[in-house]
Amino acid sequence: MSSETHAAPLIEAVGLSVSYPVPRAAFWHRKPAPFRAVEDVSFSIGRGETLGIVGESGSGKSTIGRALLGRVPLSSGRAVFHGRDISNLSGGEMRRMRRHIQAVMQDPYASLNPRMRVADIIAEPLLVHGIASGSEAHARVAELLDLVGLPADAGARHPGTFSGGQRQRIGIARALAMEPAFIVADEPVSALDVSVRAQIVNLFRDLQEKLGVSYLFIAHDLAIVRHVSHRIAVVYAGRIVEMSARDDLYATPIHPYTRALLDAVPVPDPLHRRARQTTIRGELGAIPSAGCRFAPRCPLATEQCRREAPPLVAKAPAHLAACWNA
Amino acid sequence: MSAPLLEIDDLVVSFTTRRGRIQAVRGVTLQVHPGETLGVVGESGSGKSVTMQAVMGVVDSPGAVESGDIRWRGKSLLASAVEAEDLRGRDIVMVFQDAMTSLDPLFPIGTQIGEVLARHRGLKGPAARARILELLELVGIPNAAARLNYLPHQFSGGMRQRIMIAMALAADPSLLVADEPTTALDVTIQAQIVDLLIELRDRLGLAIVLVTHDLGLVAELCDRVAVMYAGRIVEVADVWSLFAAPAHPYTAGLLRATPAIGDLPERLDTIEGSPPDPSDLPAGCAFRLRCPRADATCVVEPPMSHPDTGRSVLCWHPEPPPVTTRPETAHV
Repeated sequence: MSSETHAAPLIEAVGLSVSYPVPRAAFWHRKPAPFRAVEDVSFSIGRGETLGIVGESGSGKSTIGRALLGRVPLSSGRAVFHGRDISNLSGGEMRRMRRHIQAVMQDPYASLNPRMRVADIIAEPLLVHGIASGSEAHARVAELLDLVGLPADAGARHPGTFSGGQRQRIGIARALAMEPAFIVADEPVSALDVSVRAQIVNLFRDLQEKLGVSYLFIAHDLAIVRHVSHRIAVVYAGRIVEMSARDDLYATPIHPYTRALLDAVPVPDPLHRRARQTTIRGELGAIPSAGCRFAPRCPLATEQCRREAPPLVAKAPAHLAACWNA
Repeated sequence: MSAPLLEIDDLVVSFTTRRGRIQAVRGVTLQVHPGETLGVVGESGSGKSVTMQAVMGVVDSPGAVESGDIRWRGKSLLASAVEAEDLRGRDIVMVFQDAMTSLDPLFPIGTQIGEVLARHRGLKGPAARARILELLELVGIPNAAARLNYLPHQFSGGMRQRIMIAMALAADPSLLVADEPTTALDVTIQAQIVDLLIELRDRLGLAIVLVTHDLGLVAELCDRVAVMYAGRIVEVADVWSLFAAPAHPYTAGLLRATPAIGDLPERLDTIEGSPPDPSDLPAGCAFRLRCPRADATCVVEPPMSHPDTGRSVLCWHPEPPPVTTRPETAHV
């Protein structure tokens, strides 16, 4: 994957924050502070570029994707597409924006209507948006099936007759029907078998090369995301803790959490069993009210970390990290 | 080598469905020896979990053992249901991907572990309490004494996994079957549980069967590996030979499709196609339609070969013979 600069950003998150209200434990209790699922997240993605977002469950990684898709309200900050603020669009405007921003979800079983033929599933967005109809839509469906590596006769069948990997191809074909400029892919290969996972990862890359589409590729570990991303952001408890060009992140990880994530991925080679250096203790629990959100689990945490949240700053050229001690 | 703890002999497990009888396990033969860690690797539908469910006597209805035998220290588990019931949960125990499969949400964790102790070890009262605390400490539950009365939901996912392991270990088993024990967990928690399993194995001399789709986990934990595809074992080898030189084309394909985090191939190697539908398997070798080495011979079912190297492979055209590389520190 080349590392040429992706000059003008296609989509930007600027100080993106999402919080969810927390219900009171009982009516006489004080209203608790909202849960800050995503806080002050900023990044930009260029045309034809992939930003990988890596984090564990509860890190807010999916919420970031949903915020860019306009599916959750922002508590502050904004999402910018082609220089235009898309965070507070009206229903009609948002629908038109959906042409350009599409989603591929983790579970191909849940996101395809089992009663519809595959051709109708793929053609649906074309018809809804009035982009094509009749024979034109039919031709476009055939083209899309071919593009994602499905046989031409797949269109006449129902999703239930396909394997997991093929269903994910159907989901990708439908996302591509509108010729979007940007796709949010939320763990698109996590539910797939190992032998099929690599096929879908390669498909994402091939499509990007052919169509110049940009991806936000969400993953829960650092293994597979390496093969699709130009840049990677690691999120922890709703904040970006490190962001850099892909190779820099793997070669010189800065944040202790990134290092722990890298160390936690098992190496498929019994000759390289190693004593883990940085197994971090505990789990993502309650977010501390002040200071660095990773501090309760961090081997390097000091008084300062518990008092003051570290800013995300450049520790090396184009390599950002949020840590006082790294 | 000492006598095996567990012997699975030509096991067939089938499910009766509307579409007819489907064999999920099609003649699996496998041994587990004391103290060893055996990985059973396969994708969804390979029969890896069903094989071990048959050992535990928990095959989901409408599935049933159709033929074959399962022996524990030489005695058939299928012959006497009463004896088998007694062994399971005491000498052979199982932990699952989801801890809530084993834990009852309505009872405090102390009570649940206490039940195992009472049933299998006859322990009650202060002796039981002391043993419960010892077990919880063993699996790394901090401040256990104060948390005996907690319900399972009051613990995080990783902690629940530890409690399930503590409960499994309560009756001093010789064999722990772990079915995808870390799959539902976050990576940093996965690493903690793997470390725990390694520590327990080394401290207690436990034999472990690790059922998983994750080759990384196998490389990290196992001594020996059985690879399953479409209800059959297609290759058995020690872990070093298997990773250094896989003999079955499916094993080789899986390994190529699982790059180490340090590798960065331009394109990931793939295995064409998808795992077959168990109700519609091709004649002969079940892998042949996806196999780069397949030819006309493969329409006939291949025999399991038993070369002197201790490796077996179910293939007419295995990859070139292995070069065994084994580190001096390795334990078998």
